[in-house]
Amino acid sequence: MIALSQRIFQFIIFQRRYISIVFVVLVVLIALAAAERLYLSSVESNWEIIKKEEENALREYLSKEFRTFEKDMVNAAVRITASLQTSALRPQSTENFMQLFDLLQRNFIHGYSLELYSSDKVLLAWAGEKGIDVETTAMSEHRTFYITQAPIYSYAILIEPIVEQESVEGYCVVKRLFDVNYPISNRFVRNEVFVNSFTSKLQLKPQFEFGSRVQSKKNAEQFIFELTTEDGKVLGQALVPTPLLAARQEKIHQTFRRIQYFLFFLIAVSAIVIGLRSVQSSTSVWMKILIWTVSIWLSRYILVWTEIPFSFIQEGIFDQTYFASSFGFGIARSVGDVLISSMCLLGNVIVITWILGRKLQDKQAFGLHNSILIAALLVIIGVLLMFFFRGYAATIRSAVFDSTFHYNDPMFILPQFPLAVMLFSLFLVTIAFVLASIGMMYIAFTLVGRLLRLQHYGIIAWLVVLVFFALMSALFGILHPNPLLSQIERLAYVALLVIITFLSYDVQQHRMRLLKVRTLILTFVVVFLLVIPLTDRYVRESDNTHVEFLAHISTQPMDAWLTFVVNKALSELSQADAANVLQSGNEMQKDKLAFTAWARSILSKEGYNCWVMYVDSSGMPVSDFYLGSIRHPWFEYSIREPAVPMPVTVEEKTVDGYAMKTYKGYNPVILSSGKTVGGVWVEVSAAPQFLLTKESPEIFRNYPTEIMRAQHRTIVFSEYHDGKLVYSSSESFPVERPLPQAVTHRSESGFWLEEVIEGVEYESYYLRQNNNYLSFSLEALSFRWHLFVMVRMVMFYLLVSFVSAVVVLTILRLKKVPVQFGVRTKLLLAFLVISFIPIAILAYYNRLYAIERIEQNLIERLKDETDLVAATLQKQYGYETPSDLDQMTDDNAKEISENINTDFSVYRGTIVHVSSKPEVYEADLIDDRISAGAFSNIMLRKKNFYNEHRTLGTVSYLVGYRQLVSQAGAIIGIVAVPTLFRQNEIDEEIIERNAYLFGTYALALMIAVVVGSIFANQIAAPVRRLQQATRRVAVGDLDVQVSSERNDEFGELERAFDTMTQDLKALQEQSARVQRELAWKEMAKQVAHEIKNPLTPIKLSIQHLRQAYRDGAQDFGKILTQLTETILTQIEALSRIASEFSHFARMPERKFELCDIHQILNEAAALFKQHEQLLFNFSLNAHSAHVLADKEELRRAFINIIRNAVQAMNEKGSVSILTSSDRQNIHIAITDTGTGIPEEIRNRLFEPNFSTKTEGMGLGLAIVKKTVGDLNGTISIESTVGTGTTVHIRFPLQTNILEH
Amino acid sequence: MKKYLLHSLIILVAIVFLAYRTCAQISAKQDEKRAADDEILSIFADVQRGILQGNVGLFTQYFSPQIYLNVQNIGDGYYSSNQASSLLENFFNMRRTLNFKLSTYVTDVTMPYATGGGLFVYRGSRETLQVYVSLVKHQGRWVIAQFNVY
Repeated sequence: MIALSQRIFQFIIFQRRYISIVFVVLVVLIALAAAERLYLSSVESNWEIIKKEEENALREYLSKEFRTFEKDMVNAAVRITASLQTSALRPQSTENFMQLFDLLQRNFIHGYSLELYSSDKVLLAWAGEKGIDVETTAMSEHRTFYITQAPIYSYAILIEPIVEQESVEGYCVVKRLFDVNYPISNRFVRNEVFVNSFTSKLQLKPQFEFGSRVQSKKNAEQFIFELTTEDGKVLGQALVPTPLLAARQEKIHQTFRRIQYFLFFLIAVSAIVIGLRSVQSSTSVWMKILIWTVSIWLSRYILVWTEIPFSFIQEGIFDQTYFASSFGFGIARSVGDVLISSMCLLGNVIVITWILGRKLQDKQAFGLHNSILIAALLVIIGVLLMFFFRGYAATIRSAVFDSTFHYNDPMFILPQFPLAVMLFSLFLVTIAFVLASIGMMYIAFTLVGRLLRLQHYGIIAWLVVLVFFALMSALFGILHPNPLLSQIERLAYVALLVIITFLSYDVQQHRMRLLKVRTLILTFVVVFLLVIPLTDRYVRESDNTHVEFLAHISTQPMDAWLTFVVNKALSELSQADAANVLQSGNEMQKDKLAFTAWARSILSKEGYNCWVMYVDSSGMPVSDFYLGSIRHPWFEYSIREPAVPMPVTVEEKTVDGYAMKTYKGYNPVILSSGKTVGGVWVEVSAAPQFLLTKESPEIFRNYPTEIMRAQHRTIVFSEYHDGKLVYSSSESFPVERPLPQAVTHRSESGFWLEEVIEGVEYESYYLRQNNNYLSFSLEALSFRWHLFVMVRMVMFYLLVSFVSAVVVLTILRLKKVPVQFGVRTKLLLAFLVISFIPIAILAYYNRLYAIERIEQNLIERLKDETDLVAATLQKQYGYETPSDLDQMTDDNAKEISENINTDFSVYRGTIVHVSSKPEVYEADLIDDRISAGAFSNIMLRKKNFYNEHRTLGTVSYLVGYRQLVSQAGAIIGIVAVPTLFRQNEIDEEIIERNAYLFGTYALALMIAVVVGSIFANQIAAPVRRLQQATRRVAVGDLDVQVSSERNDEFGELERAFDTMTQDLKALQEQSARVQRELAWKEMAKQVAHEIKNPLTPIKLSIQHLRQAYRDGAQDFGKILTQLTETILTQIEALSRIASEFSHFARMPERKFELCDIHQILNEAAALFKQHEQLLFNFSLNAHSAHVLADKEELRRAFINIIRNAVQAMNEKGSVSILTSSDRQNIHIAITDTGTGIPEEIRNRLFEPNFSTKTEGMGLGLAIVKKTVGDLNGTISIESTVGTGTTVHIRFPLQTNILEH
Repeated sequence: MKKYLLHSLIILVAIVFLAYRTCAQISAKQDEKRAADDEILSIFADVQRGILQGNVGLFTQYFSPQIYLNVQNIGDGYYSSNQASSLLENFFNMRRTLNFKLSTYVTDVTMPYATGGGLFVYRGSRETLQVYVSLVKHQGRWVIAQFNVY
C-alpha cells in the first residue's frame, strides 16, 4: 500500500507540470459553466433592451454598407463624366460613337453596367450587361438613384446628368446588381450582389421592397429599416428578421461551447503528453504500443468531438456533398476528415511497426515453445489479415460509393483539389494497410519457423506461409457472406505481400529491412496495384448500381408525387405577392410574373418539365413560362370561372407521336381583401418517351445530363416493344433493332448484358415490364480507357510521392540530419529530372497550343455556322430592310435551327429580335441587348465577323457574330451563334485530346524512366563494385578482384584497383612475414623470460634435494616434501604460463550474433554476487543495446573488467554499471570505489605482460582491448587515486556495424 | 333423391370451402395491407420524431442504398444512404427545431409519401421548412427513396 502511494506520489512529482494544467483547466471549466448559466439568465431578463440594441446595430451596419455601395456608384459616374467632353454626346460619325464605347470600356468595373445617353435620352454607348431598362422619365437635371427589380436580379440604378453651363448635355447611367431574386443557386446565376456581401457577414438575409412593392408592416418576426440615399430620399425598405432570444441564447451557448471545447482540447493534449512521457519510462513493448495507439486516436476523436476544424470550415475538402460517411463516429464525415484519419492510421501503423520491429529483431522475442499456442496465434493472425483485407476494400468502396466525385473524369489530367485530397488519403490508407500486412506476414513467418523448428528461414517457411494464408483466404470467402474482394483478388494480394516480406527479410541478420530500395519500390508497386484497380472496380460497380437504381425508380408510377408537386406549386404560385402584381403591377412585372413565381416555387427546385400560366380576372392570359414541355395554345387554358379552383387532373395524350401524361391544376389568385384578381394554371408533364409506364419524371429534371450520367458516361435509355426498338435517347441506336436473343432467354426482371450496337460495345441493363423491355446502356470501357485511367492515377501518386519526398528531405535538411544517396540513385534522379522537364514543358505548351487550336477550330466553325445561318435566312426570306425582320418569329428560328442543327439569335438594332432558344432571354438569363464589343465591331467598325467570350454566371462560352446583309449590301441585323449549347461536344473533344496526349506523354516518361534506370545502373555498377571491394579491403580482404572487360575509364579504374590489391596483398604478406618473425622473437624472449622464473626455483630445489640425499640428511623426508611442493608449485606456474600464452595466441573463430549488452553485463556481474560486501549499482539507460559480436568473447571481456574492479576494492565496496546510447553508439561505464590507478602506470595498462598484481600474466586488459577494438569500439580508463576507477567502453550500435 | 341430396351436399361443401378460402385470402390481403400501412406509418412517425428531436439517426436507417435528396443549401441529386445520412445530420444539427409535424400521409400508392412542415432556428433567424418524404419497396421492405427539404 505504501509502495503504491509512493509510486503515485513519484508519478505526480514527475508529471506535476501537466497535472497542474489539467487541474487549472478543470477549475476554469467549472467556472465557465457557472458563468454561462448566469449570462444566459441575465440575457433573458434584459432581453427587450438587448433586442433593441441588436436591432440598432443591424440598422447602423446596413445603413453604412448601403451608403458605401451608393458612393462607389457615384464615383464611377463622376469618373466617366469628368473624362468626357460634352460635345462627344452629340456624335456626328461612327468614330465619335466608337470613342464613346472605348471610354466606357476603359472605365468599366466588373459587376457594373455603364451607359451614356444623349440629352434627348437616346442610348449612345454602353459597357456591360443591360440587365434592366433604365426609366428615361427619371432622367432630369438632378442626380437620381433608385432600385428596381428584374425577374432574376434587382438593380441599383444611378442617373448622373452631364451638365455644361447649366444645360443638360446627356446622362451617364451606372447600374449595379443589388440582389438576386432567384432562389436556386446555380452556376448560371451571378452571385456577386450587394445583399450577398453582407448576408454572409450577418448570417441573416433581409428582404427588400422597393417602389410599389413597399407594403409590409412591422410585426413580431421582422423589423423594418428604411433605405435612404445620401440626400435623404427613401428608396425602399429592408425587412430584417427580429433578433430572437432563442437564437441569442444559442449563440451564447455556441461561444461557450467553443471555449469549453478548446479547454477540453487542452486537457486531452496534457493527458496525451503525460501518456507519452510515461512511454519513455515504460519497458513493456505492449504498453508502449497501447499508449501510442490510445494517444493517436484520442487526439483524433478529440478533434471529432470538438468539431475542429469542421465547425469552422464546411467548404472545400470539408464540404460533405463531395463525400460523407458515418463510419467510425465521425472520423470520415468529409474528405478533410478522411485525410486526418488516414494520417493518424498511417502514423499508428508506423509506430507499431517501429516498436514491434525492434522487439522482433530479438529471436527470443516470442518465448513460445508450445506448438498449439503458436498454431492458435497463426490462425488469429490469418483471420485478422482477412478482416484487414475486408476493411481496406470497404474503405475504398465507401470512398467511391459515399461520394459524388467523378474519379475518372478525363476532363482534367490532374484531379480537382478535393478529389486529389481523397486520392491522397486513400494512398496513405493503402500504405498503412500494406505496412500492417507485411508486419503480420513477418510475425506469421517467424511463428511458422518456430512451429517447424527451422534453423534457417528459407523458401520453405515462405511457401508454408503462402499456403497457409491462401487456405485462410479460401475459408474466409466461404464463411464470410460479403468479403468485398474476390477470392482471386485476395490470393493475388496475399502472394504479393508474401513476396515483399520475403524480399524484405535479411536472412543473415534475421530481421526485416523495409527501407531497402528494392523493398520500397515493390511496396509502392503493391500500393498501386491495390488502390488503382480497386478504385476503378468500385467506380464501375457504383456506375452499375446507379443505373439499376435509376432504372427501377424511372419505372415507378409517380402519380401521387406529381399530383403533390402540382398542388404545392398551385398553393405557392397563388400567394399574395402574385395577387399584388396582377392587381397593380406594371407591364414588365406582369410579363415576368410566371417566371418569377416559377423560380420561387417547388417547380424550379425540382426542375420538372412544366408550364405556368397566369390569367386575369376575365380568364385571359397575362404571363406564361415553360420548361422543356410543349407549349399549348393559350385558349386551351381560358377559364370561365376564375374564382373556382380546379383539382389536379391527370391526362394522357399523344404529342408528336409520343404518349404523354400531364398533371394539371388551377387555383384562383386572391388578394388579402378576398377579391379574386386572376388565377394560375400549372401543368407538369411526365416522360413523353416512355411508352411503357408513361411516367418517368426523373429523366426530366433540370440537368438531365447530370442525373443521367454514370461518372463520365452518358446513359442511353431505350425501349423495346414487341421485340423491336421503338425509342432510344441515342441517335446511333437503329430504330426497329430487334431485341437481342440473349434477353428473351433470361427469366430475371432486371439483368446486365454486354452487346455490340453499330460497332460500339455497350454494357446494358435490361428491365422487363410484362413482355416489353427498357434498356439502360453504358458504353463499355476500352483498354485504352483503362490504360489512361491507370497511367493518370500512377502519375498522380508519383507526383504526390515526389512532393512528399521533397518535403521530408527539406525537413531532414533543416534538422541537419545527414541524408545520402548512392551514385545510382543520384544518376537516376538526374535522368528523371532531365527527361521530365522537357516533357513537362512540351506538355504545357502543347496543351496551350491544343486549347488555342480548339478555340481556333471553334471560331472557324462559328464563322461557318454564322455564315450558314445568314445565308439560310437570306435564301429563305430574302430580307431587304431591317423592318423585313418583323416577319420572322421565334418558331421560324427554331425550325431553321433544327434544319441546320445550329442554335442562333438575330439582333435587330441593339436588341435580340428572334432566337431559337427564346426561353433563356425570357428568363433574363442572357441579356437581350447585344454586347458593346459586338455592336461596335460589327455595326460601327463594319467587321463582317466578330467573336468574343461571354459569361453566364460562372460559365464562360464563345459567341460568334456576323452581319446580316441585304441583297443590296446594307446591314440589317446581326446573327449570333453561341457555343453555350454545345458544351458537351467541346468537353468531349477536350477529353479525347487529354486521353490521347496524356497517354503519349506518360509513355514517353516511362521510356525515359526505364532508359534512365538502365543507364544509371550501367554507370553506377563499377562505382558500386569498387565501393564494395574497398569495404572488403578495409576489413583486410585483399583477395577481392573487380576485373571487368570494360574499355572505358571505369574499366581502367577497376583494373588499377585489381593491381593495387594484388600489390597490397604481396606487401602485406611480406610485412606479415617480418612481423611474424619479430613476434616470434618477442614471444620467444617472453616465453624464455617467463619460463626462466619458475625454472630457477625448480633447478634450485632439485639441486637442494640431490645435495640432501647425498648428505643423507636426517630430515630428508621433510625436505623432500617441501622441495617437491615447491617444484610442483613452479610446474603449475609453468603450466599457467603456457595456458596464458596459448590463450593469447589463440584466434578462435568468432560466432557473431546480436548481443544484448544489458543482458551480458547482468550475467557477468552475477558471477561476483557471492561477495557479500560487494554492491552492484545498475543504471542501464541505453535505448538500444544490441551489438553484433561473439557473445562469449564479450562476456569474458566484461568479466575481466569487473574482476579487476572487484580486486581493486579488495572485494569490498560498490561497482556501478551505467549504459547510455545516442543515435549511433552505446556507451558503457564500469566504476569501482577502489584505490585508483597512479598516473604513471595508467598508460601501460593495455600492454601485454603488464600487471600490478602478484599473479596473472598481465594479459587480461590487452585481450579486452583487442576484443573491443575488433568490434570497432573504443576503451579508455579514467582513475583518481583514492577514489576509484572508471572503464569507459563505446561500441557502435548494430546498424553501424552492419554497414562496415 | 339420395343422389341429388349427395350432389347438393358436395356442392354446398365446395361452396362453403371456396367461400372460406376467398374470405381467408381477402382477410390475409387485408392483414398484409394493414401490416404494410403500419410499417409505412411507423417510418413516417420515426421521421417526424427524428426531426423533432434533431436526431436523424432515428430515420436514416430506412434510407435506400441510393436516395434522392433535395435539401436547401445542399443541392439536389442522388447520394448513397451513408452520405445522405451525414448530410442530413449536419443539416439538422445546425438547426434547432421549435416545432415540426408531418401533416399529410398518402400510403395507398406504390410510392407512399408524407409531407409536413415546421419552425426552426437557424443562424439566429426563424426558418420555416417543408419536408417531403417518399418510400419505395426495396428487397421486400419499405425504404426512403426521396427526402426533400424546402
